[in-house]
Parts: sequence; structure tokens; C-alpha cells
Amino acid sequence: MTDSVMRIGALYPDLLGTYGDRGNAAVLAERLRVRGIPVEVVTVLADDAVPASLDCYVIGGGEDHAQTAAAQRLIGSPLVAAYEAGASIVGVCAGFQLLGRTLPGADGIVLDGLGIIDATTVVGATRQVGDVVLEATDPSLGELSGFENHRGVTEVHDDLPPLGHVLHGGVREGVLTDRMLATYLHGPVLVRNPALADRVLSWTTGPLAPIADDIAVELNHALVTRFGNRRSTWLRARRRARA
Amino acid sequence: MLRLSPGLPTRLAQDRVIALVSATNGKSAITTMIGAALRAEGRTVASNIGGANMMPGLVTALAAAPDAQYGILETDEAVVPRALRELAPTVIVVGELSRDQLDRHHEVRKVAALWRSAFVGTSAQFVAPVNDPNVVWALEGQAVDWVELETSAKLDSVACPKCASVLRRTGEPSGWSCACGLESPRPHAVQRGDSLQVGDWRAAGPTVLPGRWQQSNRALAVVASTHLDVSLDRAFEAASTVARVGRRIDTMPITSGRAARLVLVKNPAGWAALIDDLGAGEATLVFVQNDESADGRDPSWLWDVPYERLARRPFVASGTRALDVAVRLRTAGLELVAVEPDPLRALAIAGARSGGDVVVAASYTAYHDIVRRIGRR
Repeated sequence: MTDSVMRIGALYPDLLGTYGDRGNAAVLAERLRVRGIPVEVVTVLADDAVPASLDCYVIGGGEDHAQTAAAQRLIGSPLVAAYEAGASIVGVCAGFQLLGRTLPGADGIVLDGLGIIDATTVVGATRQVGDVVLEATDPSLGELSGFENHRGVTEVHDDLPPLGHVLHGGVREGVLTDRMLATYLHGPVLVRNPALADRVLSWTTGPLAPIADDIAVELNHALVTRFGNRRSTWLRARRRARA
Repeated sequence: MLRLSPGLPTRLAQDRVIALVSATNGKSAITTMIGAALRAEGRTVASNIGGANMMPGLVTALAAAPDAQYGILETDEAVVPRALRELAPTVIVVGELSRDQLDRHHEVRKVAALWRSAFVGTSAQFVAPVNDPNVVWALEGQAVDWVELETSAKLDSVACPKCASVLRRTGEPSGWSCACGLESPRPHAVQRGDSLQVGDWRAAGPTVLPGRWQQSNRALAVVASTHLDVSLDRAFEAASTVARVGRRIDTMPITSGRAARLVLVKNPAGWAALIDDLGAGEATLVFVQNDESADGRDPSWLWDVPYERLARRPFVASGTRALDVAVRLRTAGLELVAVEPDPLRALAIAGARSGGDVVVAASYTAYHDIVRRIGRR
């Protein structure tokens, strides 16, 4: 973080913004602003060069053709070097796939990814669509809510910790390291899961104080409760407090 | 799902002129406007206004008016190939495609690909906007009256649908091209604000239906009507004076003579148009977002809408996804008045604030729930 301003790159929201993922960069910035921490969002459009000096790069999901165009632009961009130099990355859906070694592109071709994760993506038999609740691998993140809508199946070959496991199903989802979040979850994922958003920010800023009256926490609990098929202790506590 | 007897759609469509209308937004309005143009000429029309735009809805509309000379049918995007095959339309109006309820609809380029293959070999006359690269690609090689519309969603047309390169924008509002050769066609008709030019003919004037996007809908409807032997003057006049689309209503009572504007908004393109329309006004916004199947289960798209343009405007978040709305609009800089899942209570909260205007923007099931409950009061 230079000059105490955190710089967040929203990469190609025009290409990889089909599923509302531009909200991830927006909410990261908002959570710093309400804490009085200076932040700048650098929006990198399809015709722009990727800056080398940002603190965090956020990549979203999109259609096959747009993903192909994005892959062509990211290969050879300063993104990998920036990551190796200490920047953090959030990749969602197509963004997750692009972080791996290979992924399916438009019209059945196989594309090279960035190779930051030793992962490969193939086209699955059916499209996975619906609300998902994860039990986070890191228990301090609690339960995570998101909406998946993808046909790609990504196999992670590295021994990297998953973001979490699907509640009741046990299937692993995503990757969360000390500088990288990769997931299929939309929602946007960092909007629905403020603890996860703060984790991503803390990679750059260090520990963050909680936000008072954080409505995103209420959203997270409402969605986890509704789609996780069980009531959270938080909501029960709130109901008791109101009664 | 209703099973249709084989051959029934084709039999019902025989001996009359069929027009299909499909797009992400504007299907009902365009269909209503074309119907009005035909009725102004004294012709009889079977039509399916009101959202029954899957195959059973189309067939029901035709069966309900067996003597109608024309079938003007709003058609769900995914149903277009089957309707084309079984109803043999003379005219197909195709509006812009943009992202919509991605949990149950295809992504935009996939819809365009579905259409492109379905349209091979058809002799139908198309009417379509030059603005949308996906639509232009879907209609390559077809007989098209191209219409240049003033406003355009653009959100889902950054990558070329043909070759995956990034498209070049070559002048506003509608010019675009790609190195592969795909480019915006020369328009047959041009809509600018409330005016429409078709060759040497030109007309201007407001639409009775509120919302600037109705001027785009009217442009497509008028050009389509000329292929159904309605004069430009007659079609423009009839489309302009359409006052109501199906059972939709435009206002709802608040208290003692005051009324709120009620708008059905289903997706980012619809919201972008409404934000243009709301402009810099002071009206309190009541945003009702549900997540039934018809609304779309996933409201992530709220983040694709430039709500920042409504910054500092007061709003009440409502519907089953009131909290998603609250987080989104507050991040955009709007002033959260309350989170109230029940839409009528949310309206009461907004109405009690001041004497200012209230605009209720509701998702599909929320809209119909509100209309039903107002009717019972």
C-alpha cells in the first residue's frame, strides 16, 4: 500500500461482469471508506493496459467469448508479476478459471490460463445453478453464502486450502490462501460475506476494526439461514432480543 | 407443463398473418403497439399481452380469437425457434438482448446463437435495432429493416459474438465494428428522442406510455407495422396513443389523493432506462425485489446497474431480497430510509416521509402482488 491508499483493480468489468461481480471491488472500497481508510478503485476496461502496481486485483465471471478475449489480454500482462511481488487476487467464476493452467474457451477451444494456481477446468456435464452455503475452511469466517451459475468444473491440483465445503454436501469449493481468493460464488461473494471481504482487505491493510451497524452482516446471516437449511444462532439471538 | 396437440399451433396459425415480437425488454409494449396499429385500420387481432409468452400462451391467444386476421405474439426468447417453425410468421420483430435472470435464461450470446441457427432458411421479414451486435450477428444474411435506436444497453456487447475480439465503437449512439467484418448495418429508420425518421418520412411526438424507452419500442413497432400494410402515419399515431399494456398499471394510491408511480423493472437494461427517466428528481424510491423463479433467483445483477447516478436519493428497500437492495443502494450513495420486506408497508413508509413524489420499482412477482393487493383494497 503506497501513500496509505489501497489501490484495487477491477479487471475487465466490461468483459467479465456478466454476473454482478463488479460489486466485489465496489464493496471492498466501500468497507474501507466507512472506516476512513483511503482507497482508490482502478477500473481496467478491455482496451486498457493492466497496471503493475495495484494492491489487489479483482476478476469476475463472464460468457465464453468474453472470457476468451479477457484471457488473451491477461496473458503477458503484469498481473502475474504483480502477484509474485505481493499483490493479492480475487478471481470469481471465469476469474477463478483464468487463474489456473487451462480452461475452456469459445467454441470448444482450450485456453491457457495464468498458471497462478495449478488447476485445470473442463466443461461439466450439467450447469450448476443455485444458492450455496459453505462452511469456511477457516472457522473464523463462519458460513459463506453465494450463488453459483457455471458449467465449468475446476480441479485444483495444488495442495491449496479450499475456501470451504458445501454445507450438507461436503464438496470442496474454491481456494483461499493468504493472498488469493478463487471461487465460483457470485452474489457478489464479497457483498454477501463481509468477513471474507475484510479478510481480503486485511491482506493489504492489516487487521480491521468491525463496522458498526453493518447491514452486510445482516444480509449474510439472512442468506446463510435461509439457504443453509438451518437457523443461525445469530438470528435466534436477535429474535430473542426483540421479543 | 401443458402439452400441445401436435400440429395444433400450425393449424391455428394457418390462413392468418403472424408476427412474433421478442427481446429482453419491451416485448409487451411493442406487441401492444403493433396490435393498436392494426386495429386502427379496422383489422382483427389475436394477441397475448401480459407475459403468457411461452408456446402454450401463444397458442391460447390464437385459439381465443379464431376469426382474427392477425396473430401478434410476444414470444419468449427461448421459444422463438419453435414459434418460427410452427407458426410461420411473416414478420419477426427482434429487440435488444441483454442479461436477464441468468439462473434460468441463457447468457446473451447463447440466445443469439440459438436464434442465428433457427433463422437459417426462413423467409420472414425482420425488424431489428442496429445497436445490438448480438442481434446483428444472429440476423446475418436475413431480410432486415434495421432501426437505429437512440439509447442502447451495451452491457452485453463488448466482445464480438462472431470472433470474440473486443468490438470497436465507431460513433454514438449505435456505431460499432469488428476486425472480422461484423459491423453495425446502415439503418432503414432512425429514432432520436421522440422523433422517428423512415426514409423521407418523419414524425415526432410523445408516447402516452411513460418512460423514454417507449420511444424505442414505438420505433420498432411502427416499422414492423409497415410490413403488415399499415401506413407510417397511422402506425405512429396508434402506437403513440397506446395508454396501457395488458393489465399493467402506472400509478398506485398512497394516501388522501396522492399517488405513486409504479414501474415493473426486471433487469439491468430496464433499470438503466428507468434511471435515465428518473433523472435528477427528488422522488423517494421504493425498490421491491423478490426472488421467485419469475424474478430470477439471483439478484447479483443489482451490481450491474449504475445506481450511483441516483446518489443521495432516499429509498425504502423491500421484497424478499430487501437486504440485498439495501446493501447495493447504500453502497451507491443513496439514503436508506428503511428495510421493509412488505411492499405496501414500504410504500406507506415512503408516503409518510413528505409530500414529495414516490416511485415504486418492482420486480415481476412483486409488481403483480402489488397490483392484486391494491385491487382488493
